[in-house]
Amino acid sequence: MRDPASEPIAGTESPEESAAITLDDVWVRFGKPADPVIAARELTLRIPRGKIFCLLGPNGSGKTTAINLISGLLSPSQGQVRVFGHTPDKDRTRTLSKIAVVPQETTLYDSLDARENLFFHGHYYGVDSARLPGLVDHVIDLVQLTDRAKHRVGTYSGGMQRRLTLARALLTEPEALLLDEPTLGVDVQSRRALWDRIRELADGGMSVLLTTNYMEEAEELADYITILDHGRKVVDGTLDELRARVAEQRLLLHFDAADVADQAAASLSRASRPGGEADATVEVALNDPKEAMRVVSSLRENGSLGDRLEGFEWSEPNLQDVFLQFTGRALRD
Amino acid sequence: MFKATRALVAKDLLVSRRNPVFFLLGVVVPLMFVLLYAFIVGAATTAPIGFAVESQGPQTQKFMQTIRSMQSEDGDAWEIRTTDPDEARKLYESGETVGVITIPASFESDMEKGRAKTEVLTRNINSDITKNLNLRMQDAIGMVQQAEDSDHLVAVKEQNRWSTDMSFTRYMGASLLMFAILYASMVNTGTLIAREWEERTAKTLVLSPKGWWPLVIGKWLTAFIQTAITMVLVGGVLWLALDYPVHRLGPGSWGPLLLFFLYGSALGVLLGVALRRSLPLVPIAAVVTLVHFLVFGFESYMRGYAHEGLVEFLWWCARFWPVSSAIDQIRYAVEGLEPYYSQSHYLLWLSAVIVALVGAAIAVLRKRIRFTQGQ
Ligand SMILES: Nc1ncnc2c1ncn2[C@@H]1O[C@H](COP(=O)(O)OP(=O)(O)O)[C@@H](O)[C@H]1O
Ligand SMILES: [Mg+2]
Repeated sequence: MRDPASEPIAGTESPEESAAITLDDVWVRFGKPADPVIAARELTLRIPRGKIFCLLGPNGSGKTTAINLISGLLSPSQGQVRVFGHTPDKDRTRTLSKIAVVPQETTLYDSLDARENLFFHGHYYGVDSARLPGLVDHVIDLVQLTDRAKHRVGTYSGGMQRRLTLARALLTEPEALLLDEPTLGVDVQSRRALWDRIRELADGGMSVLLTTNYMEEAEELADYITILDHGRKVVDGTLDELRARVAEQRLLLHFDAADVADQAAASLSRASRPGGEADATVEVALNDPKEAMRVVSSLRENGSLGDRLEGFEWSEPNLQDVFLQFTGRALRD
Repeated sequence: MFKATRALVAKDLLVSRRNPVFFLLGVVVPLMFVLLYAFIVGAATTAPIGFAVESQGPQTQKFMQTIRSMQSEDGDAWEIRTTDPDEARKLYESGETVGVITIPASFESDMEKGRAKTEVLTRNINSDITKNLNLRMQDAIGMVQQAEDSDHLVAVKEQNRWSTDMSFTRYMGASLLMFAILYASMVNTGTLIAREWEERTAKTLVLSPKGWWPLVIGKWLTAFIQTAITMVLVGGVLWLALDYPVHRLGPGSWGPLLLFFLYGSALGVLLGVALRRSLPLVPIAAVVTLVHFLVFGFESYMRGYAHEGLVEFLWWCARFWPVSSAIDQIRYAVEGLEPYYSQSHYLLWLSAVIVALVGAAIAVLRKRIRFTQGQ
């Protein structure tokens, strides 16, 4: 298992320095000590600077718990959390001036319009009054709400509200942005717009921690992915690394006759005939997607079999395969 | 911090203006309550009465003089429509008066024997009125007798310090002020807090790098402003409808009023963080306030009945819970008596209660924040 932050990122040597946020062997227990609900167990994360780090997990896997630990709303029962060198639950002021949180729920005042919401937030969070009007215009423009800025937020769609919440988080110009399921229940257009903005922010140097249970979102955005289940990290790495970890990948070879398929199956290791005797298909189990091309080209070199090969299919495993392999298929609440 | 506090106050006042339901409930309920009381008290105090004076002589004259002077002292508690026996009975029959008080022909001689009696006949809708009138008559007889006998004069004066010296209106006025300020501060503070949960904005407020103080001070200031609006209106109604001397609410009353505000908003904070909903908060605040009004607002009335059972228990509560003393302080202040801040423990008591309530609210809040993950 590779730790993303253990690879030095350009320009820095120490992995500790390169990480914006770290969790070290963190445990969170709720409820009675005798019968606790464990929301985080031996959780160790390194969230690098200037990248998009994605926590992917089913409902109740501990994603919000991780965000609350980082924002200091929650203290670890055990272990250590550091945010730019500060301990969030002890040094709240300094931690909170470095990060911005977009909570899972929409947290806007329905009876105020977008600008009023943003101005209130800016003043309340101590943004310099002289710069605030410019910043408000800028972030409203960034999330494409300029036309609706004077309408009450209660009249907004879910997607617009999420966009406004993102804009609000940017007012304080944070170094790290924590997004808790930012596109939950959002229409396709708003989701796309949110993704684009998030990508731009990371490219501009912001450290982004994003939680989601949408595979597409992680595939689209994440530089690093950690899959959580039952409060535990089950696997992590870049998207390619995770794909490579899916144990069983299959290559399907279609021949023009069943007896040729029999012959091919006999000559290849880990091959089987899933369609039975009469069918001309051979399935080959692979350890690594790169093996697929090797198998096909070696068949082609072997003239007698290669000529009878009509076609092959091989699909790259997607994140869903990874996810299901590591979290299982049991239903969640 | 100042900027953050100001921003919160401005935001909350704007939201209250756009969704005025709960703010208006904080105004309308106390106003209606005061008006209702003004109506009831008004009906009771200006009761028209007829006297059937059947006796003649110096004692009778003195008695009637005493009655008339009591009447003016009581602030037109009742209106004597006639002293003629026939006229009095006729007015009573036709319903123009609420009762007839007969001074029997034997009054003069009874007086000399020290056994004088009057007879009260009323439409017995409200037994209090009958009882009240009977007591007044006894009082008047006593006064006439004791005026003869100067040894007892001093005793009479002292005894009458409260219920007869202070008009019912003024007595009630302080309790009504307590009602209004307690209810308004509870509803305003409670809904200002619960609202942040209803809008799901509580988390965002808590995550400000400016910390807790802008939140605490801002909410309290807004609640104060909104409660002050209620109190100005209630003061106006008390003055107009009950003739309550609002202008005499001097410095002596400020301490108790401020404490009532703090007490009410501490209760409101606790309700707000515990319920996290505005709607159930309003009836609960109404019940809490009503109990305060009935138990602590009538402490010295209850004293008379507090011999046994539930009433005694309530009276005992009323004496020990510092709210009654604070109401009394307002009464003294309006009567122009010296404020007795220095001699009273109730200020300390009430402050301690407020601190305890706020502490409880913080404990609930800390727990809540942990429990509002995600969902
Ligand atoms: N305050 C709490 N008390 C008890 N259990 C909690 C509390 N908060 C969260 N949990 C539990 O911790 C687990 C992780 O929750 P959460 O971090 O909200 O999951 P996610 O955000 O991934 O859906 C869940 O099983 C949840 O029920
Ligand atoms: Mg969550």
